[in-house]
Formats: sequence, structure tokens, C-alpha cells
Amino acid sequence: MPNSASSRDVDALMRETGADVGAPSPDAVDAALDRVLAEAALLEQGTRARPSGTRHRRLTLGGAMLAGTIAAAFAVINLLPSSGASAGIGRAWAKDVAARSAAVAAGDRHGTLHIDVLVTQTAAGTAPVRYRVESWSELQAPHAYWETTVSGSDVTTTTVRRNQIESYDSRTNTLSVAAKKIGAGSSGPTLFDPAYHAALTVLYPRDAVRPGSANHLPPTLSRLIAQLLRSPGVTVDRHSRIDGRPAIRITALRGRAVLYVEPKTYRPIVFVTHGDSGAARSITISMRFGAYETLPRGSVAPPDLRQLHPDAKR
Amino acid sequence: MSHQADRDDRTARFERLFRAQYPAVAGYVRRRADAALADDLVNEVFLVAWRRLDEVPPNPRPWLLGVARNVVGTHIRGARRARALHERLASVEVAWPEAEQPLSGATVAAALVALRPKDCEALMLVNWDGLTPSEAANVLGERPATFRVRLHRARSRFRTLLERMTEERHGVTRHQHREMDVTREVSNA
Repeated sequence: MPNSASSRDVDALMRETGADVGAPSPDAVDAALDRVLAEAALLEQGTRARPSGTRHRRLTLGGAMLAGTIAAAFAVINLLPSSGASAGIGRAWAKDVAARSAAVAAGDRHGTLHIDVLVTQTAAGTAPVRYRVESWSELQAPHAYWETTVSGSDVTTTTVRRNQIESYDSRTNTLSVAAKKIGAGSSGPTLFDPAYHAALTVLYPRDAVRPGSANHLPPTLSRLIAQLLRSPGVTVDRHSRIDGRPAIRITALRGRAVLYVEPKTYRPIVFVTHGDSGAARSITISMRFGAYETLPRGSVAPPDLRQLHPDAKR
Repeated sequence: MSHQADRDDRTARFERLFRAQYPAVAGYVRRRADAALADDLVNEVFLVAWRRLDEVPPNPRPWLLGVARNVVGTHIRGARRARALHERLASVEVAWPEAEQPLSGATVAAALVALRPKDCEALMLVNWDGLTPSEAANVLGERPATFRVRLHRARSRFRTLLERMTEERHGVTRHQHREMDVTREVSNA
């Protein structure tokens, strides 16, 4: 082919191939503007809510120190393995996605929230600790709660019904029964769920030693996640991936809490919390949800531990 | 001026900027990114503009497209960029002087992808986004004179690539053309 095409021909060809992508409709422009302004407002709130560097350092340092205290407290009831963890996190955007994800995380008020989660705790210089927690929380009265924690060969089952706590530990074949004080306004199993307490330790080290004592701390893992998603400065990445599949990645607390949710259902897939204690050690708690669903009211009931373990020591 | 009035003024300024420049920015992004990603990228460009509103120059388009270039570049690289171009041009057919048949979009996309990224961008900015060479130079962060040289070379390389690809498509190389011409001349002699 002769080389006779001129610069003008090149430009004409280029224009013919790509100039027209269609003008956006006025509605599309309005919607895009609303979205930008909403996200800009969220970003500004996040900036204002950001703690000072000194305060942040103090909090994270405190986190590392208090992690041990928390672990020790939970060792008493054989629920919490005794370690923390380390890794990295990310970022992104979209207010409505965060709101929908928060609603799914909080669960339907008229059902029983069923969560099956595999928790991995890692801390610099220590071997990872893994355990599994399967829990059921009635989100309406009488707010019964029960959970099974599996750590190695040790299985602990705890039920909380009408202020009565029963806990069976397979390692010692012991059934403990106690009365639980539930404060006004606190309907949740504040003292249970090691996954929740592990996340709390990393995110709010100062308050984690007295779970439920600080008004701003939600009493359960599901409500903690929902609160994080509704907090200022949340960013959403709708085109992320986790475990090789598409996911929405939602980041809160400037990257210290990251939740991956399914794009269509907003169901939590993975929740990662990270505390960086600088010169001390960083801790990462990674939770993979095998189940995160609201079951119909009355479809499940807490197990009767006395009947299940008649030979248990008391 | 009170804080609230300040804020209202800033929002009004941003809205004017947004409404005036959204089509150009959206067009820029849509010509380079997958459709699924385009809205989010445009949104990200204007979030940057919101944060840096005081830095936006009187002629905002090159500045905004410079931001858009960075945003798109962060999300779309290498194979993904090539795929987006191929998808975009898949249904296109364009006339080309001296060519027996119109060029397919795939050929044009392949030629664009084969260019250096900045050369490709130079051609697109001038022809797709309708910028003047000075404005396009601004987007690429180059002097206008440098950009003009780049644009000239880009056109030249693009033309050569298109010719080569067209010839390869027809299974006849330039070398073979030359050989055929020589044979014809010898047999006529």
C-alpha cells in the first residue's frame, strides 16, 4: 500500500473512531453531581473525625498493651485464644453501598442472626492463632444468644437465656451455670463471642477491657460492623476481589477495619481489623464468614446443655 | 464571610465547574475505560477537583483531564487498557486512503496499543477529546513545543503501523510488493 495518507487523514480516522461517546443526559449529570457532593461530605466528615497523630499513636500503643490483658480475661472462661496478629489493608467509596451493607450486617430485627466465622489472629513474631465461632443471636425479645467456639480440639458451647448463662467446655467436661447481669439497654451477650472481643481489642484498645462499659461501643460483632460502616470517613471500592471472586471492599477507621461484602447481597465475606502499635507489635484479626444470615424467628432454638451433657462435671 | 457562607460559595463554584466539565471528563474516561468502571472513575476525578478546588485554573479542562489521566492510569494498565480499547472499537469500520477495504476497529485498536502510551494519548487528546495542542500538552505535563513534536511523530508511527497491519492482514508484505514490482519491471524490459 502506498504511503500516501497524510496527517490530516490520520486525524480524520482517529476522529471517526472515537469522538462520539454520546452526551450525558441532564438527569445523569444531576445524579453524578449528587453522588460527588455526598461523597465529598463524607470525606470531610472523615477528615474532621480523624484523631491527632499523638492521640492515634497513644491509642495504637495502648491497643498492643491491652491486647494481653483482654486475652487473659477471656482465658478465664476458656473462650479466647491468647494471641494477636499482623497484615495490611486498603480503601474506596459509595454511601448507599455502605448503608445497605450496614443493614445486612446488623441483621433483620425480626429474626435470629446466624454467624459462622473462622478467626485468624496474627501478631508479629508469633504463630497465627485460629478458632471458629458459630453464634446465633435473637434480635427480638427475649434476645437469647448461643455460640460454639472451636479452638483446636477444645469445643466450648455457651447459651444465654433470660439472664441465665450456661457454658460447657469439652476439654474439662465441665458445665458452668451462672446468672448474668444485663444492664439497662444492653440486650446482647456482651461478655461472649471471642471474635467480637478480638476485633474490639484491636479497634478500641482503651475501652475493650470493659466491654459494654463505653456507650459508643456496640455490644455485638454484628452491631460493631454495622456501626463501623455507618461511621464517617468510610470508603467503598466496588471493584475489589477477595479469594478470587468479585467483592465490595469497605474501609473504615482509616484502613484499620476492612469489610469485604458480596456485590449483590452485601453479605459480609471477610472482616479484617488491624492495629499497628509502632515499636511494639501489630495485630491483625481476620474473620472469614462461612455464614452470615438472618434466620426466620423461631426456626432455631438454643441447645439444652444440661440435657446434652448429663455427665458433665458441675 | 461566615463558615456556612464560605461553604455555600465553594459548593456553588464546584457545581458550576461540574456541570460545565462533566461531559468532557466523562467522555475522556469512557473512551479509555471499561463501561462498568467509567462512572466510578469520573466520580473519583471530581472528588479530587472538590478537594483541590482552589487549585483549579481558569481553563479547567486540561487540568481535569490531567487528573482523569492519572485516575484512569491508576486503574487501567497494560492488557486491561488494550482490552478496553479493543472493546470500544470493536464495531467500528473506517475508511483509509488507498486501502481497498475499510479498516476494522480491531486493526485501529491494535495500532493504537502498539504506540508508546504517551504518543497514543497525544493522538487521542487532540482527536477524541478535542483539545488544542497547547491544552493537550498541559494534560501530559509537557511544553507545547515538545508536544507538537510528539504529536507529529505519533501520527507518523500510527500511520506506519496501520499500513503494516493492513498489509499483513492481506498477506502481502511491503517487501513482496517491491519484489513484484521488480519482477514486473524485469519482465517488461
